[in-house]
Amino acid sequence: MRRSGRWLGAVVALSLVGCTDSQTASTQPGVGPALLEALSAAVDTVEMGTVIEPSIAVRVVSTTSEPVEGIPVRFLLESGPGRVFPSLAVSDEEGVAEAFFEADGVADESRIRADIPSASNVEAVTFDVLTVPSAFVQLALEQGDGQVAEVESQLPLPFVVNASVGESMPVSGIPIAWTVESELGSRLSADTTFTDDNGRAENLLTLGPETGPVTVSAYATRTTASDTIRFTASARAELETGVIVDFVDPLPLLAGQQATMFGAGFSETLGENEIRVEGVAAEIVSATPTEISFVVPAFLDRCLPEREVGVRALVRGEASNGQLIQLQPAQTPVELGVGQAALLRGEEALCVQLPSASERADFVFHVQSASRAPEVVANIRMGVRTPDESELGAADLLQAEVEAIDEVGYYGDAFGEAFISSAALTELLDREVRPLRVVEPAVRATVQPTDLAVGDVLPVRFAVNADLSVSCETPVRIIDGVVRAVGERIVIVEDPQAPAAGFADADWRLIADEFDQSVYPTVATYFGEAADLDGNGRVTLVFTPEVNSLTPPGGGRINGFFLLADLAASGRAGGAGVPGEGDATCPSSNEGEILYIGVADPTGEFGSPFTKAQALRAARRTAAHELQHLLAAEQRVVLASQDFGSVEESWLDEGLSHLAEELVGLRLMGLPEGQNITFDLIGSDRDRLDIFNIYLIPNFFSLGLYMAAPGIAPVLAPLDPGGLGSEQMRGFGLFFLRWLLDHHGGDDPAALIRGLASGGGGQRQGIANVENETGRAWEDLIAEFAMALAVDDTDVRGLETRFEITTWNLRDVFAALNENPSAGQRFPIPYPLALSPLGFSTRALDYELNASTEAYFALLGRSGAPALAIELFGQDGAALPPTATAQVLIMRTR
Amino acid sequence: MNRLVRSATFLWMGIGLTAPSLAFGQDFPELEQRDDRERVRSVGVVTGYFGVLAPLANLTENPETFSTDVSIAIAFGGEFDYFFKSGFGVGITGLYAPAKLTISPEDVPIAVPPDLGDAKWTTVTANLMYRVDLKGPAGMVEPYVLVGGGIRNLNVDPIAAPEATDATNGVFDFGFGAFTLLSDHWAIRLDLRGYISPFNVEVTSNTRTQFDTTILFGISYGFP
Repeated sequence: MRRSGRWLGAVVALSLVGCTDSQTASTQPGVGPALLEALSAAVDTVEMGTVIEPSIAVRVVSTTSEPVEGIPVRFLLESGPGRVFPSLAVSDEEGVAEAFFEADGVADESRIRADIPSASNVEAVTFDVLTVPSAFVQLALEQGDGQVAEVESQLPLPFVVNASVGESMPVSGIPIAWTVESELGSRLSADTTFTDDNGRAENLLTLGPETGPVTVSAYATRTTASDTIRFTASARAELETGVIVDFVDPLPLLAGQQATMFGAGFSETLGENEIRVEGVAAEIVSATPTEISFVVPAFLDRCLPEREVGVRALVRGEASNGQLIQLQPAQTPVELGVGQAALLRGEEALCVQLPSASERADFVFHVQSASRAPEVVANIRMGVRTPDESELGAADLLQAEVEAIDEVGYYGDAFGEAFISSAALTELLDREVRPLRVVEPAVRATVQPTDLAVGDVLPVRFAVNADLSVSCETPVRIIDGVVRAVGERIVIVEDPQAPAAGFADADWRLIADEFDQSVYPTVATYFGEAADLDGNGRVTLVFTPEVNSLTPPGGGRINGFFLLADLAASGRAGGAGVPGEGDATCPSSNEGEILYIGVADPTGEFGSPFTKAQALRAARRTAAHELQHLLAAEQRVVLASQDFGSVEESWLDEGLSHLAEELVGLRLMGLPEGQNITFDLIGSDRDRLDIFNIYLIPNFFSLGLYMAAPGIAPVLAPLDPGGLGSEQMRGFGLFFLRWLLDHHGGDDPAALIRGLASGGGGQRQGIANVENETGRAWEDLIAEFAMALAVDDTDVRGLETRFEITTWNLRDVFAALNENPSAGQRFPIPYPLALSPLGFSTRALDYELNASTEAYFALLGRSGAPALAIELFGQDGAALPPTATAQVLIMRTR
Repeated sequence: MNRLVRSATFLWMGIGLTAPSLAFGQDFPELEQRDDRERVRSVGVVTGYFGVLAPLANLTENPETFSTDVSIAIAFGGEFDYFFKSGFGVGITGLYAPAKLTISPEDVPIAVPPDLGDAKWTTVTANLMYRVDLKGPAGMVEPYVLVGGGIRNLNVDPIAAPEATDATNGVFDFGFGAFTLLSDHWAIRLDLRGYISPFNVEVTSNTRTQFDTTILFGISYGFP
């Protein structure tokens, strides 16, 4: 609907009602505004310097959903650049009030809030408007046109263009492409530069060996267009001048350091001399007719590599001959031997200088946002700069591998369980229920019987609703579970409503034996013993189709879950009996160690079909996974007597549970940690392969998704994001912990994991928990882990062990899975982590990084490669905000 | 008789077809010339085979993991036949094929063994045969049909379990072929045969019917 013509009418209406009492503005006596409906999209875009079209509109409606006329609605620019007008609009006969947003010349996000000042009870609505670069800008010559200089010298002044829209509104962040049109060997400092806040972009021309006119064109590029403007300069064999520069000392020049120019024709009066270095005026310290001391500009505002710069003196406006002199940048270059790495952060990370190479030097580096705030997204523009139009290498374009995820089109089956955990936590915190405390055996005599036998009936309260919310007050259903197997540490209970084509006695026995012999001992060793709230000495696995029916349509499947509510006091007489502080209870609690697991459902009676083999594989893995959740939660809220709020953050809790799967899998396969396991050890042994398929392959799949597109992974998600993000979070979590275990486990690796699981008795969560247990900074840990994914098991000579994942040969395993005739369908890439190759003429790349994620690059330099500078800045052309917490880890690999 | 056994043994091993047989040839009366139209009807024939085993059905099917096939493989072995004057005969055949077990993945997100190893296929069958006595110039060719049974052994590597495991089952076979006489004692032989046998797939508790075929080329030596 087009409403752009209405704003004038709205202003007129406002002027008519402006002097009336806003409380009585409604033309429907007795009918007041009850709601503001947003008629415009919540998020819209507008080009720089233009007015949004259509307008931002809301509708004022009454309690009966009728439009209310004559209500003044206020439109405020809550944040971001731009202008909103009018600031007050009156609703028309349809209840509609509207305003306009005019963007200025900065690409940014603005938020507009609409409310009714006279009705504070009516909730305000907000609109986000993204200002995007203009499709067309005007360019104008600002400086540098018509200069004359001798051949093979740099012009005294840079060429400067000014970009604007509308009535001379400067626009920033516009990429300007520069081209030398004449073929005289002249070259520019850069082929693309970006406009600054004043709309200015500049470039410097170095003349070639031939005389004659030189023409340089400039135009806006990428998503913005402009007319092409042209600068001219003239190259002469010699410059007729009385100002002569003979030489400059020291050589090379050091940016920011003092230097002396020797020659003739200088003025003794300081102010009559001017020295330009690469077009920038230098501070003059002293001057005589033959000597000028000056401070070389530091060039801190530009991240350029070691290069030749033009140096020229101007005395009373008369230019000297020019000199091309080598300049070393102020930033310290990164000098690395093969296998060595440097972690740069702060200012160092924003401009990485690599020296010219006398021998072949290849580098792998990642640019990382080390932010600890999950919501942070760093929008990074990375400029890669060589001294000039280097002839080395054609432009290698960035090759994103994200498409691989779409090719896979499959998400794992850990989906949903974390939603339920979150829902349970929310319910418990809302009800202010406290966790149970461990009590003496004599007190808990009335809980679950300890002499369970196959065939017994055990009632279990099932408290998860179809929408995955948890009902503490009333269980959704009481399952009269039939005991199918009893082990030393396990009771298996089956819902009598489970489909008949389910597990046989041998299957129940298999699950129970594996749990007793491998799952519980492994998980308890690494994550802590169960509190045994129900006093039966066992964990109860409840196999019920209620779990199957929770999986919504679409990808993924809920295989099972642990419910925090079962650790709360039920308030039932004869229950575990000793609730924590406070009287609140959760009547649906089973007051014991319960894991809920889906059943075989080949015909899909309770959801998507689930064959017996699938269900058995899922059940075995889920038992290990959920047992970790249970034991870790008990370490915190039961054994350490903390509140439910002390449970671990989702990303780390899930990582620990997937680590439990891996540890159990390794134990069952009989493969040790730290031995760089290759797939041939697994694929040649059917028993190991079966275990790998149950406990490991979903985790490699998750890691593959993470590695395929690490920058978009929500690795620090406090709540499970679901879908692809969930898989990536889990893949990161598990293998980050695996790397931690490989390197920080010491003599008792289980102690490290036990410490993480308990979080110091529920005192610490997330990053703080990791830092406390390892004694290392998060930024260092994620930088090293990320590099390990890129370089481990490659042929880097002298690779430090901190860059290895010593338990797995990831490259071998992924390559084998890729080649596998069955698994290969879901592992379409031999190694999912792709290093984007950077050529020496690559100029700028834009990418986004979620908190604590990275983008990988490879730089292949042959002998004689020029110096290189890598600059990080914002996609709007401005400096990166501190919240981005950018850091760069660079390693020389050859 | 001992010589016959020795000869058959050599043939079974697939080596030394010519030299021992030539030696035995001197111990037996020569067959009458075909031109005489007076053929010796009761005759023993020893044949050495070389050919191809071509299974026509999946060995196992398991939608939860993968299916398996016995690969096409070379086959070799031997046969002793005794034909009566009526044209009927009996024969005992032994064949061996060093096949491989190959994988047919299902759409299941698991890794399967990269190499399932060998599937050594062996049959021993006894057959009732009927040999046709063609007249005229075509009399140099003696077609035959056969039907019979025996046992088939399949020996697989442990990595194939539980989808496929070692098994020895009864087999029903049938086929046809022809001798082309080269001399009184020597003939070449082309033999096409089908084998039907059950195969128990433990993991799915199914019994699958196998249908294997062989195409064999043989060199035969006959004696009265």
